[in-house]
Amino acid sequence: MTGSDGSHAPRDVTLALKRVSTSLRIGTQVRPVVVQVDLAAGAGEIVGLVGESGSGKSMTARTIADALPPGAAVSGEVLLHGENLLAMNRRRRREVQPSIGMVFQDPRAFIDPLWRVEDHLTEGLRVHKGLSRAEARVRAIELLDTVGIDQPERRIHQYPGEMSGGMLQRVMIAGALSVEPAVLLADEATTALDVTTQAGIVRLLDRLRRERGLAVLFITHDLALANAICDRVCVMYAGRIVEVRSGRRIFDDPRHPYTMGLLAARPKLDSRSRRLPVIHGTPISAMDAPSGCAFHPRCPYVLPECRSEIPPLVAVDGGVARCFRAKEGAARLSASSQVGSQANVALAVSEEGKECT
Amino acid sequence: MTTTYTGLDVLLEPAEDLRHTRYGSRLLRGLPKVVVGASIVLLVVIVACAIFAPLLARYNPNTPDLLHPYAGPSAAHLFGQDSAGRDILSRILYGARLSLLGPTIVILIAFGVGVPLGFAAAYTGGWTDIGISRVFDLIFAFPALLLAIVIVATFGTSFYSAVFAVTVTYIPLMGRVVRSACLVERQKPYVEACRLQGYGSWRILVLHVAPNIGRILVSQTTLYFAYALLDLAALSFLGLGAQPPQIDWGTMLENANQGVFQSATGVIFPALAIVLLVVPLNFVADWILEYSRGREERR
Amino acid sequence: MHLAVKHLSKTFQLRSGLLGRATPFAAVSDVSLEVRPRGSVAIVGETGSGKTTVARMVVGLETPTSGEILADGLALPVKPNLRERRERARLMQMVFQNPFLSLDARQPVGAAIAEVIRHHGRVEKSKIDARVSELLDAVGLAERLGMNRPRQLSGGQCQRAAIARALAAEPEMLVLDEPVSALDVSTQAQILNLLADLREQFGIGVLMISHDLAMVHQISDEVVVMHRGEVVEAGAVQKVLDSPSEPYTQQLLAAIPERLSLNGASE
Repeated sequence: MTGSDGSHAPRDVTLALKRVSTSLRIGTQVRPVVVQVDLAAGAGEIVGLVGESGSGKSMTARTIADALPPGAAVSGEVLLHGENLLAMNRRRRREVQPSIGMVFQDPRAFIDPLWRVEDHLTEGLRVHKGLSRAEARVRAIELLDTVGIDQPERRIHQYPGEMSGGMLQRVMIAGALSVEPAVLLADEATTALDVTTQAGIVRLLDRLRRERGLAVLFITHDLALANAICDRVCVMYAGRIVEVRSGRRIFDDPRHPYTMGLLAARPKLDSRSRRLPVIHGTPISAMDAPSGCAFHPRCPYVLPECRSEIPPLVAVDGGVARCFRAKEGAARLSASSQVGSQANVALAVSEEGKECT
Repeated sequence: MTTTYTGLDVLLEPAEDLRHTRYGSRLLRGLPKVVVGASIVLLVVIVACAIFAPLLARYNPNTPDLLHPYAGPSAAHLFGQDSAGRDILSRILYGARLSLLGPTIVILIAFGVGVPLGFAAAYTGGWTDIGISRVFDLIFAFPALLLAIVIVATFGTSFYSAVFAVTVTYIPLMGRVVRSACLVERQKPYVEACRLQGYGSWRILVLHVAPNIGRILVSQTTLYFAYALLDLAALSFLGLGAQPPQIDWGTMLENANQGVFQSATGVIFPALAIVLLVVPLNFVADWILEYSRGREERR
Repeated sequence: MHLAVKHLSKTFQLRSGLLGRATPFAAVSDVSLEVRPRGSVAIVGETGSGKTTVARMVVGLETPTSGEILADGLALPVKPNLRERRERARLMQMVFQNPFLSLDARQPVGAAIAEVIRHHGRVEKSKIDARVSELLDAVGLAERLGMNRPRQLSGGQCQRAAIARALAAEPEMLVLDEPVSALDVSTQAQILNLLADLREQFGIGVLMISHDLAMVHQISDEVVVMHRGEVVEAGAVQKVLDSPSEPYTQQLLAAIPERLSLNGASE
């Protein structure tokens, strides 16, 4: 049976989001940032969540991790092994929190610089697993080894300031692993790292999910990166999921105009064009979304119905896409763009040199 | 089903910045506008009391009534009477004058001397910075009150020597805040961009850096006003500040200290007056920092 | 303007502890490169490669330990005074990575641009406002946005304003330090197109510092690959990125997401 996010329901669905919507309190109003998101990640799967600023990808992670700012409202269900995290009382929530491991973009902001690596790693072990100091230290050294840090017995005594960004990120992953989570949320975990370091971390995550059956939610703005490592990629725009594809299909055969635009806008290593094709305007968040499809003002293939109706997720090869023209595919769309979307194309041409909003 | 996280109204902060959610102060994380408003109103009222004391006070604050020492509140004397039978309410009103004047002088001089010193230290760097910073450190090395006592003992006890003493300890405080704020700004690319164009150091300082540290300075000054008030009250309480017939809240406390078991009002009301000035000042200082930052950064 | 960097080196003295010995750290060692008039050269490398330090030395924000920087054959002063800085600013300008921090937060961007124009004194007072409008237009910003402060603009708009400010001095070369890495993908493409247009329109040279090989492939003609302070490989972009001869360059190329392959995953 195909899940609403286009996935074939895996045997163990570790993490599932059902119609999750999050709103933030801004000033006196409550504005949406995540709208009706459905996601699922099974044991051993890496699911990518890709989007630009305002897409809602980080807020989705925050919703799962219970790290929203005060005044936020959430509806829908966040199921961890079938149990709804949002419906739990504080005590139960604290009990299951170790099952959700988190790795963030800037490890230095989340690791106390005055604590040695040992203190950071053993804290979880002692508090949640009840290990003694000595037992915890042994386990911590094992963990450092698991995440590929050399000379773990020496590193365990070091301070975060003595380590590079990549190494510290591995320490953060080790910390997340120490309490044996079922799910790992990696929120832009490699964005601040060099390309070669990033490759290393990404290979580590891949190995960990195979060896430990971790469900990994990999959040990034880099579609190519998600495509390279994820089993399934979900693209978000203005708080909604707009495309979900498995395998490498999202790169080879994108079905949502936004995804196509994202791919086209990236410089390529195997070709060089005089100018990059550009999606005009800027990405918006859910709170600024117009009526109908949130992407329609920027879409070169817009139809009249796009302005008034929100497209449903339509099944396409290997996934779903939220577009009335999802079945058409990139080749047919660019051929047909002369018809039916004059307004936006004309806008694009005249606005070429002028980005003003 | 909806789960709502309740919390106080927060100013718009970039959602990515989790670091700002401090555990303990989640309650005070965003000051309700009502608290800030009340604080400002209170401050205005107190300043008005000081200015209009002659009109508001029923009695001459120094007129004794030796038949009724330590009398409690009555219809005639709303706050009661002190050790010499003087009307406490009138003394509070007149006392506001010196209690407010003192910190004002302290702040004005500390600002006037400390800020340029801080700028010079941050901007010139090198030996100037080392020299100024070490002088500051020397002053910091002495417990402020002790230093104040020494100064007052040298120049004789009076309101102005107390003010002078406190000012000396506040100049380095202000200077250091300015220096730190400038150093932070100096690291930012926009200052480098100015240097690249060939703008001179003073021009960068005055036209670009100073406006950017403005709100920190204002907020800090407000806070120091409150602390200077406390320090001056402490000196007066020790008998080292204003001398009779001058009145300030610190001297009132000293005066009431001996008879506290006979009449608590002599202690309660001056203390309350101090609290009602210091606490709102703290809220306002905090609000200045948060609000103007929110306004600058909001899109 | 022809820029020639010859045997540039920079060694920082790192002090450890209060009275600790200073350990020398060679951030840049013997780097030489050239940017021809109207040329576009990129310096690529990872953190610690020294690429940013080279750019900062070229522009005058760091003092080289040894080596020289020549503009049209004349050596630029190592420790420029104010007048020399202003002259250098007319030759080359820098665009920084974080647009919000590279502009004065309290100054409307139009005023920042006008300030630069006034400082260089090449435009009559009465014509300054018109010039600011011209520059805003050249970078694709609506005139009314000139009254906004940086935080009131989006990242892309702010970077455009920073570019306009750089152009205000009418430089012959732009030095860009990771100019788009802090921006969204769709905005990155817009700024890259803008840079290509400006190069054509004004004939300025470009020295770009980046870690993004694909972007460099798009926008630069020549590339210099740096690693740990040294130049590892240099040459035409097509040649170096399509058929790199050095193992480090090959390693870099193999690690980028478009080329990444995981064991067990199909590629």
